[in-house]
Amino acid sequence: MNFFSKKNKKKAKRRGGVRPPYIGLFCLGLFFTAVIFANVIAPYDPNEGDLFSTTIPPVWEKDGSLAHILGTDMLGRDVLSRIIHGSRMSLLISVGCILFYGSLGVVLGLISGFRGGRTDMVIMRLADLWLSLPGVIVLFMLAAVHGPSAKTIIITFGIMGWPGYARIVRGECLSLKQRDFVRLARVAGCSKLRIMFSHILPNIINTIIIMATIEIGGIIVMTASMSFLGLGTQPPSCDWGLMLAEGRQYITYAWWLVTFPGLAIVITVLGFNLTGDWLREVMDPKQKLR
Amino acid sequence: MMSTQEIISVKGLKKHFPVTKGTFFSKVVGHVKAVSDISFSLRQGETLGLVGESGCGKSTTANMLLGLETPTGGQILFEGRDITGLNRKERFAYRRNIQAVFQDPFRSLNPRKKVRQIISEPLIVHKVGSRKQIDKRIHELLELVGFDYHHAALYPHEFSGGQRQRIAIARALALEPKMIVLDEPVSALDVSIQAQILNLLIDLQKHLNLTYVIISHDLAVVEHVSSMIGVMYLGYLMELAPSRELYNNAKHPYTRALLESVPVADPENIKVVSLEGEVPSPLNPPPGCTFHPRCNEAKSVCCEIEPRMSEVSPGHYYRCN
Ligand SMILES: Nc1ncnc2c1ncn2[C@@H]1O[C@H](COP(=O)(O)OP(=O)(O)O)[C@@H](O)[C@H]1O
Ligand code: SF4
Ligand SMILES: [Mg+2]
Repeated sequence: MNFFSKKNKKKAKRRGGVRPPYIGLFCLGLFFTAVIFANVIAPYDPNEGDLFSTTIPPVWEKDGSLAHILGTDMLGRDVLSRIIHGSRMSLLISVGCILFYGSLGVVLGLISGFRGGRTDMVIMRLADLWLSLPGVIVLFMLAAVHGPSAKTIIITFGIMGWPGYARIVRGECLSLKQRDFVRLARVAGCSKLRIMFSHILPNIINTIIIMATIEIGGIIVMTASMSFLGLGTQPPSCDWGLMLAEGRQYITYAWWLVTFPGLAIVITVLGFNLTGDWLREVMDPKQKLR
Repeated sequence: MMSTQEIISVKGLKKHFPVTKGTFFSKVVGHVKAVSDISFSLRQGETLGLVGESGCGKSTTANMLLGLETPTGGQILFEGRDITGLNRKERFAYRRNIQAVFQDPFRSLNPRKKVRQIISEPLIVHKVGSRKQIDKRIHELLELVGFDYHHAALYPHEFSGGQRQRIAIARALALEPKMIVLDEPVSALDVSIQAQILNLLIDLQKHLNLTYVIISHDLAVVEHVSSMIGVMYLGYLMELAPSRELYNNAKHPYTRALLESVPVADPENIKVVSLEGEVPSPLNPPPGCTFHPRCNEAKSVCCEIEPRMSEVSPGHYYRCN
């Protein structure tokens, strides 16, 4: 793809060079290692408890044990293993959400920007309306009807999240529409569909990728909060939000049950955000999001 | 091989853009009178040069010829057929006859596509020929504008401005159009490269018997290429004459002012530009002759009576009281 094209690299150098976000990339490295190699590196089955070794503190505490580096929870499950496996759920949900509402937003934004006139106005007013809907309440309703699950989260965010993308894509589309190559495409006889997907979309794909990278962090926090509230993933799946929820009641004497999942969230979000900001800087310094 | 067949004939072409207020139940509060009255006709193989200051409606005229804008009034007869009311299918077919080259070669080529895709797109869209034939045609077109076949695999950003403009020309030629509308084709280029591109255009015209409408804000650019020159001011064609006639025997005060403002090679002959003031807004053009606020020959009738086109000698028209 056109991600790391020579031109972009050169551009970055010319502007005094935006340094790659080493910390961010390191965080993402940790996260994706966990996602990809969960089965290999996790020392235990994340869901298998051992009732003889419950609430063991991390290894450096007084009663800690080398067998459970980050300790165990009240059912005797290994916290490290659960965190490692939990990364998969985070990625699954956040990517699911982004794909769902990203594609919805991109298509609506393209139509809005390209058609203009009343279509544009209707879609944009709808976006305003949508933004004013409280997402949590929609989630409550859907969770009440379909039961709380990862799928419910994806569907809710999928339905709720499109306006941001639609607006950005519409804006880009409006300016690209005036560009001469789009006018020339019409002179050549290209259909509207062809112009939208073959001429305009490839020119905004960078923006979309940057936006998605920056947003993933937010979504991970949101899904964790939802699971924490009991609206998302249900036990016994491993999910960082769920781990926080379960550990909350023991926070006074087993601090590690909430601290480490929390840290995992922080590291992942930091990784995505730093990397996203860098991508934006490198690929399009003028681009303002929102 | 000059054919005498009239290829395009434009009569009283007009485009007024409504200015609206309110979003849903919008109200028209005025009109931008981008083009008010343009008439000309061209024979195959001829070139019309359209000149005028920025904002006088040149690009809007080009857009109407290309079917990108629907005229508010008037007719465009292409080979005797009015193209202003074509349905979608007919318009698609019409597009094969008339192609375009635009001003900025950095904006007229999709930066995400390779030269091969850029040049072949019109062929693919119009389903002309097999894969192999299209490949052969790309080769031909690249050679026609002075490139090799291996350039097909490159992206636009790997070329200079002049080279890109040649790619744009190759694309415009792909469908073997009869006519090409060139909107400021060299304005964005270095002076040294302008001549190259203009010469290429002249060569191609001879080879392929093309008809050009070439638009520029600079009289000097169209001088050598055009068989006829039309001078526009605020949406009106002010004077239309064969190229040489216009240079030697300009009738309209605006044309004369333009000619005087063209720098002359002989330093003793330089006259100071006789055009003063700004071009008025097309949203609210002056009554009568739109040129009267700047005309140094304006009479009192000029503020009231809109002058009509009149023929001074065969093929030489001008609009003045
Ligand atoms: N789509 C449009 N809507 C409203 N006004 C327009 C539009 N296109 C052009 N105009 C106006 O019409 C006038 C003529 O524009 P244009 O044809 O681009 O001039 P030129 O190419 O000679 O510089 C300008 O005042 C411009 O602002
Ligand atoms: S009509 Fe009057 S104002 Fe217009 S160009 Fe002729 S003399 Fe000048
Ligand atoms: Mg123009």
